[in-house]
Amino acid sequence: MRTLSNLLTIIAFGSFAQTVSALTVFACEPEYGAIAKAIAPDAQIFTATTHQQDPHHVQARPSLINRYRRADIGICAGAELEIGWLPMLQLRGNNPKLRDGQRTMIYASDVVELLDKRESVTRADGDVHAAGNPHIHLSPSRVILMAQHIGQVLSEIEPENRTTYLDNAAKFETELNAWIDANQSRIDRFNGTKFIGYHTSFRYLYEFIGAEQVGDLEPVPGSAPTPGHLASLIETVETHQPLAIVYTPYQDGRGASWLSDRTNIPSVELSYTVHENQSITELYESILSTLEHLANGTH
Amino acid sequence: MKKQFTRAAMVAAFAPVTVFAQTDLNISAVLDGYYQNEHIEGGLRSEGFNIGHNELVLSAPVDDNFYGKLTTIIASHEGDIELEVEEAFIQTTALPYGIGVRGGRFLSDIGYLNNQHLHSDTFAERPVVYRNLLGSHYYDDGIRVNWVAPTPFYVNVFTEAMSGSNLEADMGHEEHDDGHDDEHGHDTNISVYTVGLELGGDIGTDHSWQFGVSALNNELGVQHLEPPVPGAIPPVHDHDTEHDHAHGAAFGAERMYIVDATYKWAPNGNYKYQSLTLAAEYINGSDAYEEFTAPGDNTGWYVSAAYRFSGTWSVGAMYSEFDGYEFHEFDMDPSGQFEAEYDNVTVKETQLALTWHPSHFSNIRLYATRQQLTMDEQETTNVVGISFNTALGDHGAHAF
Repeated sequence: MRTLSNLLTIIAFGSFAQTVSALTVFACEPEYGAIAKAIAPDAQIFTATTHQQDPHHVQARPSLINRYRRADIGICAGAELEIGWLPMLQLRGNNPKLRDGQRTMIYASDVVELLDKRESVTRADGDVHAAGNPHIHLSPSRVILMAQHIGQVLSEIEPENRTTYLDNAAKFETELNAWIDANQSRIDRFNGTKFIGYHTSFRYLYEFIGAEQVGDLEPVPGSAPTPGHLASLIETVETHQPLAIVYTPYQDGRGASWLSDRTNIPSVELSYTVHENQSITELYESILSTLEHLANGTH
Repeated sequence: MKKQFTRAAMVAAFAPVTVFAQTDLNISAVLDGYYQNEHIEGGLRSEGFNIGHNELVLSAPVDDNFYGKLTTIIASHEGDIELEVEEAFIQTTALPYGIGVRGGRFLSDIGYLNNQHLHSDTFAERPVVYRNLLGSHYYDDGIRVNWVAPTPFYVNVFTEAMSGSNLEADMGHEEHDDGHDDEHGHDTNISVYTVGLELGGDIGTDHSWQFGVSALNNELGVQHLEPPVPGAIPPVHDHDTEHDHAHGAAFGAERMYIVDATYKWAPNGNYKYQSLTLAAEYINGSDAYEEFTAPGDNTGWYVSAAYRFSGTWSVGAMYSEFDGYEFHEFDMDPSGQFEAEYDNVTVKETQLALTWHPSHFSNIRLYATRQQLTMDEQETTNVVGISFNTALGDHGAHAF
């Protein structure tokens, strides 16, 4: 027993020495990792999900409990997006800094206004949450608010770096706004376009570019496309003539291909969130150029 | 357009928040029902149409320092409705240095399957070694302290002190009320102590693993054998009382060692459409009898595989074995000394399951079990059944 505890002490102190100076961030989704990196480039940032993972369906793996345990600050979407796994990390991770209600546990749903709030939900509505749609990162105004909030919280827990964090938050805003200004005409081109989507993953993108989702591959949110439902969408496509059928890298593309084959409307896997080391602005640029390829028929 | 959006979102963000009649109290119910053609030895499920392990769960953060949970089980057992409190605990949330303390009634952290709720199982019954040594899932009243280390990979160390009332070998023979000493002089206030170590991590994005070793010492796990007093009626081994109790182990052990290993695979870490779970555990239980030693330990193991091959379907297979000794009767040897005679019990069991998951909240399962039990002679039982398991209300997160 003594040997065991000695060994653990060595392991514990070994890793403590490596990470003593840097702030450790636990981001539930890649977009919040990207924002945190823009504000605190020196921080050690751990992202719990990748751009290819569905943030609704992650397992409360030992590695996540370990990362949660070691974090100084947590940044998540909230609105029950992570309800299937984050509560288990909180129960098993023993990290008082990332308790709900702490300043250092940041939920986007507490910082920005969510779209599609409901006063009540029933299971007949599928996997929807009364708190609203949590996929907020494709809304420039909302990610800017998140960046400002993260900058503020970081400067409270590390006052010595206050200027850096607040400057970086301001820089984040300036860069994103500059990209929008420079590309306003490219964005405006999609004002009024229609899409068939998979889930409500791109709700905020539509709001940003002024587009509309006229049909959903999911019969109700959270349940897989069924043949009967897909068949019913053929009429929706004919009525609305959408630009494309879009889905995320973590969703099954077979339903979209099936519908595309029968309607001659292209189906496309659209980037949903940042790839490794991509910035939020780079993500927006990548989505916009995919949409342009679709509109130009060069996809 | 951009400026308008920014302003609208900012106004919304800083406007007073309307508080709906919303609270963070989670209320959920698990409904579990089944039909099966046969009962298997030591199983929780009876034959015919039955309701299974129905749960009514309340959980919420208590305040800034504690989280609390109450899990009530409503189960049908041989026609009787049993109401059990499976969990009623508080867990600290504010302690520093990765330390957590849980007190009340809870599922012990030993092994891999033990702290998982039955409703998240892939198979109709727990492996035979779990049923025989841990009463399918060992929960008890007590306290746990655990420490999650700040290491580069997952390290969790825990120790528990529990009453032991659910792992009592002499159950049904003696009453232990309010922690009074029993006739063997044991202080039954705290009879179970456990200690365990869990390690875990990821290999790339597709692979995850967990490995655990744990030990349990249980003063009440020993069965005390008393030779008959000359002239008295010899004690009859009460087979039914001991083996058909819904919760509680059929075989005792003063000491248990458990080794468990779990591996999960999912392409890109996306478990919804395709994933594979492999799990294996070995349990050794020793010193089941005092005064008259049995010829061997009570041991067993299982290996299981569960494969989810689409968003809505999964299949599973499990093989488990158990080998143990059950006291049979006293014999008198030629010198006039009593000696205990034991029956060697071996069980080999295969469980199969095909499950349809129409949503996160429901599943319908077709299952089949083949059990070969050997005591004096071999007895084979084949079970087929169909079950449903559904969750109402706020359904909590599942463990790995």
